[in-house]
Amino acid sequence: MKKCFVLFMAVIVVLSGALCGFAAEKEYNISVILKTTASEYWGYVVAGALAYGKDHPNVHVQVKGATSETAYDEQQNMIETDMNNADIDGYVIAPLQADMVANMISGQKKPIVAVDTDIEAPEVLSFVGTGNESAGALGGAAAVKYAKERGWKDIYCIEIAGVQGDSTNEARMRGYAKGVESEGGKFLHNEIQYANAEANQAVACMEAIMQNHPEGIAIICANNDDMAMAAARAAAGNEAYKNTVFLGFDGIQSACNSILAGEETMSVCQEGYTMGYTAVEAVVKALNGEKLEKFIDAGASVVDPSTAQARLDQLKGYLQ
Amino acid sequence: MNKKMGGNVQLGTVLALVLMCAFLAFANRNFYSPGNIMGILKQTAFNAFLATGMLLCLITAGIDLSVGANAIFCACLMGSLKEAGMTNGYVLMLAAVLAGALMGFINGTLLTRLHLPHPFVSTLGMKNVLWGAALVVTGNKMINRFPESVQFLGRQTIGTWGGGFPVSFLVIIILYVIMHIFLSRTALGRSIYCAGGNMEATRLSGINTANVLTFCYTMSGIMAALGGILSVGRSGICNGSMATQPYDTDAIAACIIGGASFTGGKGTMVGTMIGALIIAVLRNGFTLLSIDSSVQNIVLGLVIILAVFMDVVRASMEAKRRRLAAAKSL
Repeated sequence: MKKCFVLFMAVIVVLSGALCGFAAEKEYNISVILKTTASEYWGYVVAGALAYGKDHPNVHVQVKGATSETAYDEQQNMIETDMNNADIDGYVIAPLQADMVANMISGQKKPIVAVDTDIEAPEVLSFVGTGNESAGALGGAAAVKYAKERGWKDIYCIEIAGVQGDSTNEARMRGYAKGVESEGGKFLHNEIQYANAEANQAVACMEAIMQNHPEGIAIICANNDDMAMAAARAAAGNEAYKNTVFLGFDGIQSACNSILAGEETMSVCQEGYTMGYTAVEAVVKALNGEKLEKFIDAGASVVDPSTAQARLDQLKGYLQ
Repeated sequence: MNKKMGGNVQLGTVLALVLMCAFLAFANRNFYSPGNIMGILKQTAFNAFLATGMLLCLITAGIDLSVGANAIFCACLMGSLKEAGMTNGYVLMLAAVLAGALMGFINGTLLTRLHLPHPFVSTLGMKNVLWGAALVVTGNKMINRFPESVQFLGRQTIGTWGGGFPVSFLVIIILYVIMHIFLSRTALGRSIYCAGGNMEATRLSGINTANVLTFCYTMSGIMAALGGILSVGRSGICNGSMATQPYDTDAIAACIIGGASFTGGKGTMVGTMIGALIIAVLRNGFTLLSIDSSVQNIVLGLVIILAVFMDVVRASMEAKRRRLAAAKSL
């Protein structure tokens, strides 16, 4: 009798183990809809999301994104199409227009996690990121400290901004202003130059700034690294701007190279790879019935000449 | 002969659409799900509005590059009026349509009364003006929370199959039927084709070509305004920075795929509808198959080039046929 009981229990244990194994192996299709896939920064988010799929063979990750960060309509169509796709089990969305996406996902029962930019909607279980505003503030504050080290007494900051009215641009701008002013600098709101997130236009803006401020400006911050690099190159050779801090955003490989070459000075880095990986992980957790934190901090940092090489090596590793 | 050629063009585009749908249904079993089909119709409606106005301009051998920016400007104008305290949705929509019509009228006037050399120049300029104006009226902000009546066109559906048939597409069907009758059965509609076929001959035959052209651009503005109202309903927001989007390219592509020609005198509402559906199906299919957006752009670009190339081949074949017929009659 005792032997039978032990045998019975052993069978139960083996069966439950097997069942648990089957449960863990449940297949999931996760749709990751990003702002765009056509930039180096978003390439890291893509790499992170796909890496989760590689590490977990039962999770199939489909990544898609608009052709640019202003292709609102394109992303809208992608979200609409995938919301109707019965094969998808969960979503990771980096919204180009958070309010627009909030309308589109209304009533969706499958788990949704926002990445990079938050979506204020009850359907969104969690937000993975740092937020452009807080990351911008981190960069603004670091730039003021660096400018002081470089001997600037009057710390004025002018931004070469991205696309006027674009929500990412506006959030970064608010962040820069907050960060600069928190450390005693002055953000010149009236002298913001819009360059539509393009390097060529950033050069023209920088030339205009040099005309208006022949005495030099302590900090030139830009909406992305391309523009910061272009501005730094435009100012090269101007004695009044040799100690100017050129602050970019994204911390991509070309920015690290530029920082190491002494052109761009520093860059705000959001951890794209971590965001992508963590966001997919969060959706899988939700599908497995786990409760998610409302906010999952993916971290942000500022890369400067002392950390540029380490950052460069890390980024190269992500894309391998 | 032209009618026969036009029929062949439409048959070709219908065949292309059917083949595309068959391939996508084979590649992804969700393509034919009711929800996805309704999604495609919703995604077609905005471009179909813009393409209606664009077609009128293309038939006259013109072009309206400001349609997308005009749509966004009209949406932003509604947003700014709403922010200023206007809560009556009907007044907001009326203001949008009037503003769109005014912008179209200005485009037409620049071309016909102020004799700017080609609508490409004036409408390109207008596109930038409207982009800036959209940002100015909204104060560079995104605006949401529009009255329900404004959102009706873009949001409302009928029935429950696949989430409901979109009202926006129903309006498009009605609009296209009306426009088809207008273009093929009315004097003004035929004058538009005549003007596009040979402007000088049309003028000499007693038709006021300046008025015809101004009418076409004004209609294009009104269609853009309707597109703007639809976009507000669909997305729930308006934002001036959206005016940078190449909506006009999609509208042109829909018309050209549907058989319109840059040389004027050609194009039908049926063809344009099929063209708009082809673009929407392509984009939808690419998303379902998780094809990279860069590949989407390449394929769409190639489709447009192919459509223009076919138009050129068609035109040269037609010219050859005419030459042969003339030689025979001698």
